[in-house]
Amino acid sequence: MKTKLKNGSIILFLLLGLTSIITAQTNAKANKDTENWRYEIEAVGVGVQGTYLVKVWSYSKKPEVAIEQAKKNAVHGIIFRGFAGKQGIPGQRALTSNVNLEQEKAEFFKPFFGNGGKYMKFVSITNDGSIAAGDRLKVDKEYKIGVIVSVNVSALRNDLEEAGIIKGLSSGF
Amino acid sequence: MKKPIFIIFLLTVSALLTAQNVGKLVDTKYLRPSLTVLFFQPKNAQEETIINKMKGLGVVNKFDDNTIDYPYFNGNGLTITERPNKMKSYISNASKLILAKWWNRDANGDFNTEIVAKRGGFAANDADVVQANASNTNRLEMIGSELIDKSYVFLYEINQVLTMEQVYDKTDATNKKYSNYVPVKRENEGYEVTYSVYAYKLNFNDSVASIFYTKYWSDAKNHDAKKVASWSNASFPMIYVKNWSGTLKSTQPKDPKSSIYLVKKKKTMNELLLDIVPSMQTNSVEELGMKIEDLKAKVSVYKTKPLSAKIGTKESLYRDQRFFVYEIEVDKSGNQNKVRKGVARVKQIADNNKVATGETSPSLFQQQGGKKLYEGMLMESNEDQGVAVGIGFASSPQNMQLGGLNLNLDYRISRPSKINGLAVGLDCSLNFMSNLSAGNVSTGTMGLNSTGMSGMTYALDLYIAKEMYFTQKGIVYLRPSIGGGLSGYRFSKYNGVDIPKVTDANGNVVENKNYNWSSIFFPINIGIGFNLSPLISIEIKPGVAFRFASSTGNNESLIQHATLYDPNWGFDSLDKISMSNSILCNLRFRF
Repeated sequence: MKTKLKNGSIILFLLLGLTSIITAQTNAKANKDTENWRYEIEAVGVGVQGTYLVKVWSYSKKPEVAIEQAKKNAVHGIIFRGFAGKQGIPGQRALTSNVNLEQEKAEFFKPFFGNGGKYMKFVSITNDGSIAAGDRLKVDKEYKIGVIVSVNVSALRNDLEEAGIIKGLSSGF
Repeated sequence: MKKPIFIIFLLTVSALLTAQNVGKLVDTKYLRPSLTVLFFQPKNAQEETIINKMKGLGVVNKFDDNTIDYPYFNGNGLTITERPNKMKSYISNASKLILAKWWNRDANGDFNTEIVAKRGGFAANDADVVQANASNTNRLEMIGSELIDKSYVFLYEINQVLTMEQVYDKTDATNKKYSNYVPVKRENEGYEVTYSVYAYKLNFNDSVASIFYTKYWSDAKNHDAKKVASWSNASFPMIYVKNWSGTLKSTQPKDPKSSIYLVKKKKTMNELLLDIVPSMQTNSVEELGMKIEDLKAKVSVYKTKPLSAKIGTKESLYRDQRFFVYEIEVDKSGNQNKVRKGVARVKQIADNNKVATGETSPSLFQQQGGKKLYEGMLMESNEDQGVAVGIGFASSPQNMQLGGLNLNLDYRISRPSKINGLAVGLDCSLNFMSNLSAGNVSTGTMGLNSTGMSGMTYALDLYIAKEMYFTQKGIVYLRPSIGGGLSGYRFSKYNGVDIPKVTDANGNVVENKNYNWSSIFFPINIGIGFNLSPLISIEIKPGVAFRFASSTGNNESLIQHATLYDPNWGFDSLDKISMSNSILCNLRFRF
């Protein structure tokens, strides 16, 4: 009886450990995709004052991971990539024109974009808790999920300026 | 020189080939349609009664109401080749009235966005509202302008209104040419109405909209008298989409002493005629709704435990309405394709018949077969007729009279009953017997030959059943049922020879009714079903049946005197109440 209990506990711990490893690996893959800029960002509407309303398409084998990653990708995209406009909706340039900034300021951006990092302060999901039918696509063996988010660009820009990561708009004067 | 150019060419081609193509997209957005109902000129007072009643009903809730003041279509004297063009011209002339309704044209000929904005706000779902709140522009008004392209016209033609007397006359006239003609029993009174519906759609795409705004737009701030004057000649493209024809009856027994009048009041002929109209409207919307893509509700899976979606009374959802659930897959060419993953039916309907706030409750669904479903999958209405046909075999070892080849037909009544999965049906089993001993059977007045019996048995009952699900995927279901009907033996031979026919009181040679034995029976079953696809399921139905009151075709009770007879055919309990068990296996097809 004791042996059975001991064996059962070992199996349970192994399973839990395996699940954690798989989840961590999935999240790590998603983070790698973000670092490699493997997401798409498009304009959706004109946000209220100081915000951008964008749709972020993220990739993952697990749709739930893609949804979470959307917030991170949105902030990453606003800082480093910008997005094109479409009819009636203006596009926006990236907050920085320095394509190497993420590597140069790695000690800032690593915790900033870490799980539960500061990026979460500047972004919110703008839907009713559901994914629209046309925003969940299966592409080969993974999922491409589109999530509409609102990014508080004013606050984000201020934060990056105060941290000395980017120059202020008035720094040329 | 040539080499670099060639390399550049290769790189360009390679880039073009590997660039992400945006191919064919799946339409996932449901835009609330609007409806205008028009009519052919009525030919008589009865048609006018039907039309006036239909006008009074208004449009079904899933549509915005685009009722206009427009004359009837006069189809009199038109040939078959002339009709379509004349109808199209009639509908095209209505297009400007429909647009005038959308843009709230006032007495001065000016338009405004009041109706468009109001309808856009009503059509918006929770996601639209949340996004609009985060947006600087009025997105909801934009939704309203998209709705204009979903404006439909249903043109009704009442082909024929016949009284039941006229229907009986027609039936007798058709049957008179057959040698065994018997006049039809004229038991009922009422009406039979045959009608057709022609569906058209307003084309308000970007090009047409551009013409409208450029040539005709005038508003209170920028009144343009020239544009107002040109409106009288305005016409916008109307596309013919589909048509559908149906026949409906509304009848009641003629005999005022009929038992049905113990529970229902006898109606006037006018009341019977008016009773047809709501069904005419419902059937037209449902049948055309199955054929026209814009009228099929679309929504995404909101949650999976339980399965729910943000759709409800606003979309005229009804109990057990069928939805197919799809995953959208993107192929190598960048084309999107729908791949069906499951089937679900409406279980509980949310009242969303109001402007969305971002916190609307969803309706609940029951998955009925398929694979695991996920949030964000596309749900699309795919209505069926509510009819199921089963074919199989019943085994009733204790009373083989109740076994044999089995056919059943049932019809879902969840809508009128407001109970999910409820259906009424007709079940029929047929078996054959050869050279059996039925014992020593008599009636109160005579003995009957009971040996060397051959013929067939039957069991026919009406039943009520309820389909119940207890798992998320709904591959397995339970379907208990209870029914009542007649079972019987129709002997064709006794003592190994054909049973002689007899002469009845009218001098006709007929079957000997003493050898048609029937009983009353009540089957109770619990079906276990497996959904193989939206169309097919396999069902295994163990159950019991109670049988009693066996009698001949001359209504004389049967008495069994013997103790020796062929077992398992129910001969032992001809004069008793008996209980026997059975198991039925059948393949069920849903339509």
